[in-house]
Order: sequence, then structure tokens, then C-alpha cells
Amino acid sequence: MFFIALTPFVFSILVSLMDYNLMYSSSPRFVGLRNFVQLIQDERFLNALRNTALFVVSCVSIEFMIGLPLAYLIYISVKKRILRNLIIVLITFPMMFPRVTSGLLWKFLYNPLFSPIGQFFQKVGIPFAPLSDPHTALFAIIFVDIWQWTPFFILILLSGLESLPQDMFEAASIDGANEKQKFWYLALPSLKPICWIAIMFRTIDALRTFDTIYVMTGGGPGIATETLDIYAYLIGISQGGRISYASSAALVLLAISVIVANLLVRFFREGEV
Amino acid sequence: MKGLKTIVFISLLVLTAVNVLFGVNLKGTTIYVAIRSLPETDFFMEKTAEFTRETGIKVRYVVYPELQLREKIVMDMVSGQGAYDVIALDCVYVTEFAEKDWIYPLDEFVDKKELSDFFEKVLGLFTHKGHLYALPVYSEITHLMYRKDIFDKLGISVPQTFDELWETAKKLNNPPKMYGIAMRGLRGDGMNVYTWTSFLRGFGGKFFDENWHPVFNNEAGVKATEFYAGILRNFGPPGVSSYTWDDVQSAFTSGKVAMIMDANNFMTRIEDPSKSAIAGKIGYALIPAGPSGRHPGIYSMGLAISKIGAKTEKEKLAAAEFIKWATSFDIQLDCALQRGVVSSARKSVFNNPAFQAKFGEDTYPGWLSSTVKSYELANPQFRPLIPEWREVGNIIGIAVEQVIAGGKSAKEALDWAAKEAERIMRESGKLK
Repeated sequence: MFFIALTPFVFSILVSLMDYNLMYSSSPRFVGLRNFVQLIQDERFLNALRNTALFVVSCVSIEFMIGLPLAYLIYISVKKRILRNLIIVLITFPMMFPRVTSGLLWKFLYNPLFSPIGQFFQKVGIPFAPLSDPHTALFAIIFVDIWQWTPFFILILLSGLESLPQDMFEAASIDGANEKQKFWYLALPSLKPICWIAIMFRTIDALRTFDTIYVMTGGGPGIATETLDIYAYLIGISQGGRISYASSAALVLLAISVIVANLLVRFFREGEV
Repeated sequence: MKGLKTIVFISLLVLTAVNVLFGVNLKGTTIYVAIRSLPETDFFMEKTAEFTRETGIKVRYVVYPELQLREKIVMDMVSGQGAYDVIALDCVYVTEFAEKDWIYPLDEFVDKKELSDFFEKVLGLFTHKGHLYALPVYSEITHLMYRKDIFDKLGISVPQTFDELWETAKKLNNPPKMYGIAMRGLRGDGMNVYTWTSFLRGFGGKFFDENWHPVFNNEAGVKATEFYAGILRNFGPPGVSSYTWDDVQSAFTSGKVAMIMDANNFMTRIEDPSKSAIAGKIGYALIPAGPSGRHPGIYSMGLAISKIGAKTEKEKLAAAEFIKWATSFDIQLDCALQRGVVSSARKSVFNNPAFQAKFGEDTYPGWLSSTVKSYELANPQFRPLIPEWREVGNIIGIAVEQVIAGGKSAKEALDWAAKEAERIMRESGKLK
């Protein structure tokens, strides 16, 4: 098991230290850290880094900020078991879509000529082509991610709330606390560990979002929606053969994932205390 | 006298032996074909039983989606596995495959007379250093398609130059009811760069100088990009910067676009009343000329024999027989007449009376003449046929898309692309 997991990892580190190009180099040489030095100077890589950061931070934070209050709202207002399950099924519906399908669905909905939304905007006279404008394309994709993955937070946080002792809330009610106070002083502190777990999972997941972006824009317009994953795939496999360079970029993504995950685990531990 | 008899006898024996070895022995040979599904390939795949009956050669197809096909074939070649004897090959990869010694030249298998039936320029796409490496299955050129009904009603003539194209697009642009023109905007060596190159060449630009220095960012390149992006930004439908050829087609068939410049075989779909709101209302013409003339795009997918796969003489000969059959006059004419696809590169198909009756000028005004003329005008080196092309082309595609989408000037975007292209040419070793 250890061996299976480790082999590709060690291999990709080795490759990232060479100048291997599937198209041109017949005998790859070791070049040390040259690829990494080049990456730092590569406008397109830095752009991908920025896009990845913007994508992950906005997706996860917005999804959390919508998900948490919604979960609490469902928790306090829907007490009937069957009704609550029904709501959960309905609310998690977007999550059931494979990413490729949801990407294609939204690509159509964003179409300015043929989709109902596009036709509405056209009638009103507002220019609407979110995926074709470098200033809006990434946000249009972030919106899709929020649509699809906010239910993830609702689901996890709701089950977190359900696992909290009921008497705690009852006691607070007797003491005269209102719903707002119960949320801030009871629910939130006890939910903290679960919040961090949910955020961690979603962050790692969001870092490697590929399918949605690939089918919606392929990284365009220009390079406006290229994330690290997309960038590495394009230069390494799909549009060129710079395997070594792409491996270096992918390793940077891996390093970021590991660091972020570690930071979140640390927060989570502190939350426990 | 006796000696002569012996010689005759021996030569007969040898001839028979050769015949047995090469003719009859192909019976029972199985060849494997890596291919992607197109109306053209589907057609001969369905007819394969006839080929097997005639020749005794069995054919097994391995069908991949377009994007995977190349990856699978390259993997097969690099690993030395050789699972496929015949491969479907894009013309832009021929040089790469030939230089890596992955495919056989076809010269010895096809006679000159047969070859003269194909459009010269299409064969040019599959020729590397004087050798032919594939025969075309699917070919296309780009031309101008316009709403003939509207042009006739308003008394507008078909644009012949870039300037006229601009003026016509401006005149017809009446959003949101009608947009002047649509062309490919999405990045890609075979996407926006394919149609953009007509403007680069039209303005007199080139991709590289004699020493493989990128020069597409010089004055002509900037002009071409400003024109291409400008006409689309001003008179194109919303979102055109991310248009694929498919989007171009859908926008046109929805009746919201007055002109498009794209592949001639769009005809099959845009003239199909079940898929198109404008069937019967379309006119076809050569693409407009720039200061340096008309430069229609040209592309073809052909069949080639894999050196890694077809190792034995028998497999090689069987593979050649198969390729000749799959690209034969009979197959391509029947495919055109029965399926309505018009991507043959055979003059005899275009000259055939039944073909001309079905796709003639009366039914599709200008289509036949502009297609044939474009095949004559086209330049096989329209896009440079070099292994580095795909990477360079994709970089240029990004630059062109950035200019159409807005935010970067043509000069700025192309300078960046040229810098990247220079790096690629250095990595490949073409640029010292």
C-alpha cells in the first residue's frame, strides 16, 4: 500500500528535476531546481496560482457562510424527521451531478444566445456573456461551485447540530436566550471542530477542481480561468509535452495542499481545547 | 530452346511464389485500426465486411474519442507496443510522426495515376521531405457562408476583400436580432488560430522567419489580430470570444448571424432543415482577400501505416490494401451520396455527375465552385507543418482569444506569445 502510493510521488519528484519533454528530448538530463526557478518567473504560472487562490478562498468561505446559517435554520425550524430528510434530499440535489454534467449544464445556462437567462438579459439590453469575459469568467465558475457544494456544508453542519445534546438548548431557552444568542453562544462554539473538518475537506477538494473548469472554459478566455491543475495538464499533456515542467507545477500544488491541510488541522486541534 | 523453356518455367514458378506470398497469403491477416468516429469513418467501418470478402483481410477497429486518439497512438508508439497497424492521423502530426520514424511512406503502395485523383494541396498536407505518408479520409477548406436571402433583399454584394468584409458585417449588424459575423474565438491551434491564420496570411504575415524565429508578432500579425478581434468584438454575437466551430455553426443555423467563415463541410448540417432554421437561404463564396491575397484554411485527417504496429511485410501490405480501399473512389462517392458528407479530396468524386446533381450550384449556390477553387488556392503550409506547431499554435490561440475577449492589446498579447514560441523553438532545438 505504502509502495503503491509512494512510487508515483517519488517518480514525479525525479521528473520535476529533469528537463524531460515528451516531444523533443530523447535523453532527459538532470537540471536541479531549474524548473522551479522558471516557474517563479512564468507569468502564466503565477496567474494560475492567483486563480487557484482566488477560486479556493472565495468558494470555501462563501459556501461556509451560506451553509452554516442555512443548516441552523433547518435545525431550529424543521423538527419533523421526515420533513427534514426530504429537505436534505432536495438541497443536496446539485451535489449529485457529476462535475462534468453540472459544468455543461451551466455552460448552457450562461450561453448568451440560446439559454433562457441569456435571452432575458438580451431583451433587457444588458450585455451578458459571463464565460467569455476575462473579468467575469472565474466568478461565473465560482458561482457554479457555490451552487453545487454549499449543500455539502449544510449536510455536514446539520448532522453536527443534530449530534449536540438537546438539553443544552432547552436549558438556554428556559434561561431566556433567544435564537440568535443560542446560535452565537451555544451552537457555534460546539460546532467548531466539525466546521474545521468540513472546511478542510472542501478546501482540499476545491484545490483540485478540474472537470468543472475544463468543460466550462478550458482555462479561457485567454488564461483567465487557468488554475494550477488545468495549467499543468495543458502544458504537460494536452497541448505540449513539457512533462518535467508540468510535474514541477503539480508538485507546487501538492505542497500547497499539504500546507493548507496542516494549518487547518492545527486550527481544528485548537478548537478542540 | 530447352534453356529458354527452363527460364520461363523458373520465372513462372517465382512469380507464383511471389503471388502466393504477397497475394493469397494476405488472406487471414488481421489488422488493427486506431480511429475516431466520423460520418466518413462510420461509413467504411459499416462496409468492412465487403473488404474482408474481397481480400480475406480481417479488420479490427479500436475507436477513440477525438481528444484521446492522439494520446493513445503516441503512447502505443513510445512504448513500442505496436497495437495498431493503421492509424488515423491529423495532418498537423504527420511531420512529427515521420521524423520520429513511426510511419511508413506510402509511395510504393499507391500508383501515380491514382494519386493524381486527389487534390494536390491535400496530399501536400501529408507529405514530408518528398514522401507521402497518409491518404485523406476527411478533408476540408474554409470559405465564406452568408445569408443569401438577406444579401439579395438588401442588394448587398458578397465581400471580396477584408475591407468589404468589415463594411458588410457593419451594415448587417443589428443586435440582438442579427449579428454581422461569427468566427471561432476559443483558443487552440485547430480552433481560433485556424481561421485567424487566413487573416495573418492575408495581411502578408508569417509564423517564422528562415531561421525559425517567431515573427507573427510583427506589423502584419498585429494588423491581422486587430482586424480579427475587432470585427468579432464590434459585429459578432455576445460571447464570441469563446466560440468553437460548433458554436459558430449553431449561431449561424439559429438565424442570428449573417456571415460565418468556416469549413466547407458545414454545408451538410446548415442545409439540413431538421437542424437549421436557414436551410436553403445560404450562399457560399471564397474567403475575402487581404492585401496579400486569399488564404483559405485547409485541414485533413488521413490513414497511415504504423511502423511500430505493422512489423511484418504481410501486415504492412494488408494495411496498405485497407487504406487504399477505405479512401477509394467508390467508398467516398457512396458516402457522399448516401450520407450527404462532402469531405472527399478526390477530384473524381467532385466531377461525378451524381455528386454534382446532389450538391450542385442550383441547390447550394456557390458551394461546389468555391470548394474546388479553394482547394486549388490553399497552401499546405497554411499552418506550419512542424512538430512544434501544436504547442506554438496553442500559445497563439491564447493570445488571439485574449484580444477578442478584451483586456490585452494585439501587440501585447502577440509579443508574449512570440516570447513563448521562441522558448519552444529553443527547447526543440530548431532555434540555436
